[in-house]
Amino acid sequence: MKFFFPCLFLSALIVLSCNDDDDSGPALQVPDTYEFTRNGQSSVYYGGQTDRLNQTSEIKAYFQKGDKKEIVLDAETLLAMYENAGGDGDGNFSFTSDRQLKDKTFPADVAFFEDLFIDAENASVAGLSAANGTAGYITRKNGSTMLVDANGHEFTQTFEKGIMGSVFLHQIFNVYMTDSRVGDEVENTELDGANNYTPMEHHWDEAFGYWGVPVDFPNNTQNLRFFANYSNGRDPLIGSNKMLMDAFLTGRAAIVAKNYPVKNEQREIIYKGFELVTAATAIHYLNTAKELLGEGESSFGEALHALSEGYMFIRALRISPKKRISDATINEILETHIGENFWELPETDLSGLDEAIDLLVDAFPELANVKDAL
Amino acid sequence: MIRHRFLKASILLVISAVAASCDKESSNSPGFDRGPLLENLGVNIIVPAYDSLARRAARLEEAAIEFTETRNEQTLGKLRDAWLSAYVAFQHCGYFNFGPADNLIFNASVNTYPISRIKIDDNISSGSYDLNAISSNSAKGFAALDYLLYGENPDAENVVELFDSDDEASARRQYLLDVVEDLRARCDAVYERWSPAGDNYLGTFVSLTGNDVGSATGMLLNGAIQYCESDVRDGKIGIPLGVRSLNVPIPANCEALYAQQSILLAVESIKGLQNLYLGKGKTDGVGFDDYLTALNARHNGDALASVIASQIDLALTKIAAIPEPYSETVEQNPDPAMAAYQELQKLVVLLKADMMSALGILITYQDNDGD
Repeated sequence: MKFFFPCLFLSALIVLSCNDDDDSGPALQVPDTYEFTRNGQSSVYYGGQTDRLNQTSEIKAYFQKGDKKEIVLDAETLLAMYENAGGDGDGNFSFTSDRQLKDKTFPADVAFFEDLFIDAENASVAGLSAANGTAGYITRKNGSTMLVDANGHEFTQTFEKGIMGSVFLHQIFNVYMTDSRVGDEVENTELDGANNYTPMEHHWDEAFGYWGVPVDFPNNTQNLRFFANYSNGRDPLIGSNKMLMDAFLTGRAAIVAKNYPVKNEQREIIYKGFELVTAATAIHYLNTAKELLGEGESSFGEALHALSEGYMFIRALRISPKKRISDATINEILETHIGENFWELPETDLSGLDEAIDLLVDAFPELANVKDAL
Repeated sequence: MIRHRFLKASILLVISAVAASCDKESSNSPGFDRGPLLENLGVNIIVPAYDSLARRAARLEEAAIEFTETRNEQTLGKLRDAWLSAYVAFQHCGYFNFGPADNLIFNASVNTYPISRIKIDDNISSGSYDLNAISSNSAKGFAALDYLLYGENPDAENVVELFDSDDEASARRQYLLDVVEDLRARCDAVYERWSPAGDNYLGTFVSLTGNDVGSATGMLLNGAIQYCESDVRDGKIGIPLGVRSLNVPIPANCEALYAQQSILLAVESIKGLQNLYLGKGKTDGVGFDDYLTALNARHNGDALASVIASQIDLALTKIAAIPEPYSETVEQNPDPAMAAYQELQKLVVLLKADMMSALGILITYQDNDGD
């Protein structure tokens, strides 16, 4: 267990809308919870995003059955869920939907997931014990098994964190927060067909839907999903909960008030906030991995789990069009300092992981003071 | 796992879809009779293009049967040639994405790529598949044949072995025959719909002489320009290059990936567009260039008809200059591909905004990227 010291860390990113109201727009009515109405009816809808979070949860659960040797993983089943064949993942989802993950994936990563499914099936069918160069099962600290690839990457985490980056962050960053969806020219007067929202309102809500928080976050921290869970995990050190929630609430209220300068400020906070949560979470897992690797062989399975998470969070940093870290640095961290093959991280010299953390801190200097506590 | 180089800059290409604003007294463009245009497009271009495709698909089927019966490098070579020949013919047909092709979902059912290796491999080993299901589009068609006939190790000896002595050779042969039959049947079906000897959609087509959304020119141009935008500019060139993925190239999304014929097919595709625009089939007849000339449409002082013709030429030249295999070019030498993409982008704007506006035809399609 780690101790979190109360910290007065103030992110430079927290630019709340209360100061600096230099525009002439009407005063904002920012609610406490993510609830907006028009003519007494809710104007918020992000059912498509919720469906995709649920699909991701159920695919993860399928992978986990493979981890526990309850089933043999099947690539075609995984693909059917990924592209939601027949509206219910070919009978593998507990619900029906016309939404899917595949067509919302960062286009360059579709093959990544399909290759992952093939590798997972092969590893599951072979049923070997994992070793350097051999995909198979390895035991975690709690005694349960998990399936890793030949380089020690856990399939379940690679999938889940992969989807978080390549679908959820991609959709927020490269789709919903872009000018084509919430720029000042997007329709924000006429309602979208028979719906009770304007297109601009709806696009903002769809970005919110990918976060995975309840509408009364952060007062309510129950049932946090995906990025919401990690925003909350890093919150004591970087103040991420309020930063992001205020940005979503203020931006949505600004859209209602047609106060576009304020809306656009919140967009920038959302970009920077998600990026910071991702970077801080990566550091968190690298710290965890260092600790576990130092414990020797009995903790190696657990270390692979932490490394798999950290690796994918770093990989997810690629997805922002406004990222503060360069692609070259991301690749250097992944390929050189952590390395593709986790088995070859020397137990006695973990300076590679320290260098990885330092490069992340260089790109996100506001994490410097908390890098050891993360 | 990170295989791609990540380029830094991200270029956001914003297409200004300037739809025509129903100006002009254009319900009957003075000085131009659309009847002969439609007649020429239908009789001289569309029906012959589908006819050629159907004939080549039939030869492809014959070659596949011959290969499965006599499995050697020579029959494989003939089969590969027949596949490429039919694939080239398809490049001229993709633009006719309305009417019969739209009703039959023709383009997607014969040329969805990238294919899914998972589905194809599983179909072969399980022997259980329904090629009519929409979800099978990524397991059949020209792109599935690319995978079956070339695959990751395209060495002819290796491919023959996979069909001859591999554990799954018999199942693979059956799958090849089923995919080819499905393809041939679909090429026949779309031709039958158009053919005067069949359902004669040609007769319907030439009779819809208006310029509203349900007219022949309205449907044809909407289908063709959307195809040019989504399937040619993006599908063949832009997406593998990474223009939809923060400039991260996607080599796996190249058309004819395994046979490494992406550029040849892209060039053929632009030739198809050129023929359609100029009204050129076996003879050079009335085309959209003539229509724009009759309307005296201008573009920055020049005749729009010749501006578009020159732009098609330029795009063709730039695409032809991209080195094959395209899947390597996008990662190692993207500049020529980006140059071609930019010319295609200019072409799309000229067609979608300038030409449609001059003709008084509304763009009725939109990017479908809802929630």
